[in-house]
Amino acid sequence: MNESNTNTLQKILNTIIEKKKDDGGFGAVIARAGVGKTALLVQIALYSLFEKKSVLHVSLKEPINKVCLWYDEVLTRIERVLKQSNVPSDIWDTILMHRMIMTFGENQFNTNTFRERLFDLTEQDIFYPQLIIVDGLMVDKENIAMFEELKKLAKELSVFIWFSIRSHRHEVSQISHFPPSLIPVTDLFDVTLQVIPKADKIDIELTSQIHFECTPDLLLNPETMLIQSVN
Amino acid sequence: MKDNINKLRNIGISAHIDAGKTTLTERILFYTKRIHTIHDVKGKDGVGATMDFMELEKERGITITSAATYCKWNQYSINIIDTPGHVDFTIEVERALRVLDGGILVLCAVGGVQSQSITVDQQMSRYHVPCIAFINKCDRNGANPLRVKDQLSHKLGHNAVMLQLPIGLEGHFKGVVDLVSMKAIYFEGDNGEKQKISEIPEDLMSTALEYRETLIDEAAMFSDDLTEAALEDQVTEELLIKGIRNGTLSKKLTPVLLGSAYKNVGVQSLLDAVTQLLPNPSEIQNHAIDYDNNDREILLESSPDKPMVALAFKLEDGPYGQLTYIRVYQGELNKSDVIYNSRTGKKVKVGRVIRMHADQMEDISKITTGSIGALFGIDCASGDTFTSEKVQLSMLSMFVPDPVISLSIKAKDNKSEIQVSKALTRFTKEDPTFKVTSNTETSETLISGMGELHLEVYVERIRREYNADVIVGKPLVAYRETITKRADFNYTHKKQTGGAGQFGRVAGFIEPIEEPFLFTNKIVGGSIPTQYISSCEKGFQYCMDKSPVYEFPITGVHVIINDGASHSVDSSEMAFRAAAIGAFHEGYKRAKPTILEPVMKVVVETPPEFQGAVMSSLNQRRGMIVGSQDQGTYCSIESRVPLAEMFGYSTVLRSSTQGKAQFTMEFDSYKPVPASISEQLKKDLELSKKKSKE
Repeated sequence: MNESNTNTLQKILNTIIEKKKDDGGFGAVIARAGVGKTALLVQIALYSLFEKKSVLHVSLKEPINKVCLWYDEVLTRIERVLKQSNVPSDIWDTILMHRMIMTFGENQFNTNTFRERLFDLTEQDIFYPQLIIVDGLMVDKENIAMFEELKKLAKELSVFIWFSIRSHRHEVSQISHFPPSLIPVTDLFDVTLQVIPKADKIDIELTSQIHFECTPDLLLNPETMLIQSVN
Repeated sequence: MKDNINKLRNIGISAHIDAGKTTLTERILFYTKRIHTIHDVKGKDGVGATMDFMELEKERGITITSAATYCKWNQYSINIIDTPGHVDFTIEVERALRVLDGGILVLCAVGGVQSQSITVDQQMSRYHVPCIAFINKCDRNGANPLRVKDQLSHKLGHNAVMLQLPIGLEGHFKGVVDLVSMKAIYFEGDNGEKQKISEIPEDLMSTALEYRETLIDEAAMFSDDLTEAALEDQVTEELLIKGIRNGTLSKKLTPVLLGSAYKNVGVQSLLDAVTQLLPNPSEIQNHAIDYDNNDREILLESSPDKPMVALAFKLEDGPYGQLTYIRVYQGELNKSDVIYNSRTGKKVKVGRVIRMHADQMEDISKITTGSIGALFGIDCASGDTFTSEKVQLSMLSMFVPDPVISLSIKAKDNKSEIQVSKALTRFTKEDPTFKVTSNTETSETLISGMGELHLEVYVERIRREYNADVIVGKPLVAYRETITKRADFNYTHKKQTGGAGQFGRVAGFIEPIEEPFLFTNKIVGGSIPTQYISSCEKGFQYCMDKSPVYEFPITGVHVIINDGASHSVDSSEMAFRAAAIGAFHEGYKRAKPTILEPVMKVVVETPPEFQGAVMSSLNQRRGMIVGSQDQGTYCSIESRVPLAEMFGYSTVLRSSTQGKAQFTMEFDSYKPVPASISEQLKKDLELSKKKSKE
């Protein structure tokens, strides 16, 4: 990965977020367990933080300090790859200022509680998210209504939400490689980044409702767990 | 003797504030027959718990000083150190853990693993203290011990395994199922003193079998005999306990016990677990530094025949003089022995040797190897090592954090002045995190510590224990200054007013650096003679104590000297020192100095309905909210808040959450203050200068 292809990727992701946020845009990082969904979500969040946009990171599986560690780790990798040339010098302060982490214990997450917490922040002028990351929310029959509710909330707040969606090796749909559990809610999503491990590399398939003149081929670098585009 | 040490346990009880440590200790003392009645913390009888023997502790319902106490259970001798749960008193916890061989991590069945539990767990890990967990308050509404056990695994990374299951919960909590003996234990009698052992209730049997299976699987990882027995389905109680013990001692397994100290359930089982699962002193490796042998680390042997090595881990000034709590690591410490303080090299004769039981004492003839006791009339500081021969051995020093907050203190009258001085001398000896300094300009005495509560407690102790009237100033934050850019200096110190002249020129630059201070000499060609370089360094170092701009101590400066000039007659060490001071002042003002303030990590635990109010209160204090963690019954909010904004926060938090929230605070980092605040600080400084002139 070098500076220019990071810029392209950053531009694409930020364009999608900008264009779709008013409609309550949804994005999904789809991958099997342990392939790097959280690292990808954090990378997406950092691209927004580089532009001083406020990011709310919701984790349904990790405590606050572990989420912070993910940011430290991914940012260090990005800095190493870019040799700090494209990373704002005050990025650590920016992260503290523009990032908020919300974690929920097992089975504690529901749209009503989330809405309440979110409005606690906005109504008191504490924090206005411009991008929300939701990591660890299972997509299954019981949760379809929750995704629909979240779509409404995203629209109401004009905010884009990225989700991590776990796929399983044995249940790949014939049509789109999407996990079958995602099919009923596919329409809600504006963009998906699907991680497809192959024999010698890990491909990332970008599916977007927005047309780009030149969409780069994407790969996941297994060493850094960062997305990179193929020149 | 060997048998004695095998039947000795030095344990500590660590937990989040209000998890019930002191109540648990009180019950342990009752069941081991050290006390004959039970008094509760903030109890209706107004007596207070035995371990909270300071008047202030009883009043506030918090344990301030870790009181050491001794008891016996099934022929085992147990030394217990009760430790404070509040972060401000962390040094007490650190000191207790330094001398302990095992710990009980008390967790609340409702609150679970809370922020302070994480801190105390980290402290236990730092000193490699094996521990068992006790989930207390299983009788409370919302108690869920299995959830707490999961938190122990996920949040603290313990390999937690249930040793017991609850029989009923909340209001119906009656007893526990022991998964080792596969029996149900009920606690009967007025104070739960009678244990009734019976068969496991039918409805719990299948769950008990399932959890026992997990327990055997986990314990088998640490014992081949148990693995074999498990394969042949012949697991005995003895084998299972051995496996669990091995895992616990290696810190790879954390057995979890349950109970309710307040309702007298499960305490005796916990005592059994302490004797069966926690290590005796000979099973723990303790090291000392041998100063006579190139600072080599040597392993101490828990043998009575070896030369005595002991650590004074706590000092207390009582009505009969200074009481020194001591742990003997090697050899024995007898009454009338002559021992050496390895720090001062002084010889001391041991007078009275006692064993403490909270505020009562019992005279003994010696402290055996591995045990804890106290000495009278020994002049030493906390953390000193004593040896029986004049060998230069020192126990590894304890981690002591820097104080972050100061308070000016002044005696109201002459009589009080003497008392205040006595008190401050005593407290500084007892507590390494409590510092006393004096401001020469304002002739004020400043006390510094780890937090507002820490200092408040000492001020109250001065008032109550020493009967002294004191005037306390507003808390002062320990600000620092640093530079933000590189700046050159070229300063000549020249003085010729009769007698020998003074001449020295120092040139170079200063730049920001991560370290507190660094001096680099890049002089070539001898423009400053070598013999004056160290005077230059001393001059620069001197300037770091007080900035020429805001007068705060300076940090993060790299001084590089690369040129200068000297005079064959008029140059001297003093002249170059003065030149360096002038050079620093010249460069410093150009290097865009900025004020840094201590920023604290503040974690508030609150019922979810007050989350908004808490966030708002932190936000109003220039706090940056890092995140919130929703656990259903409560949520914790983590933030970074400047210390200067945290004064009086406990009152605000209490009123905005109906007293249901609590917070912990610890130092995080130094960060630049906003421009408006630095302006205000500048004004305050000018004002105080004017006042002191008047």
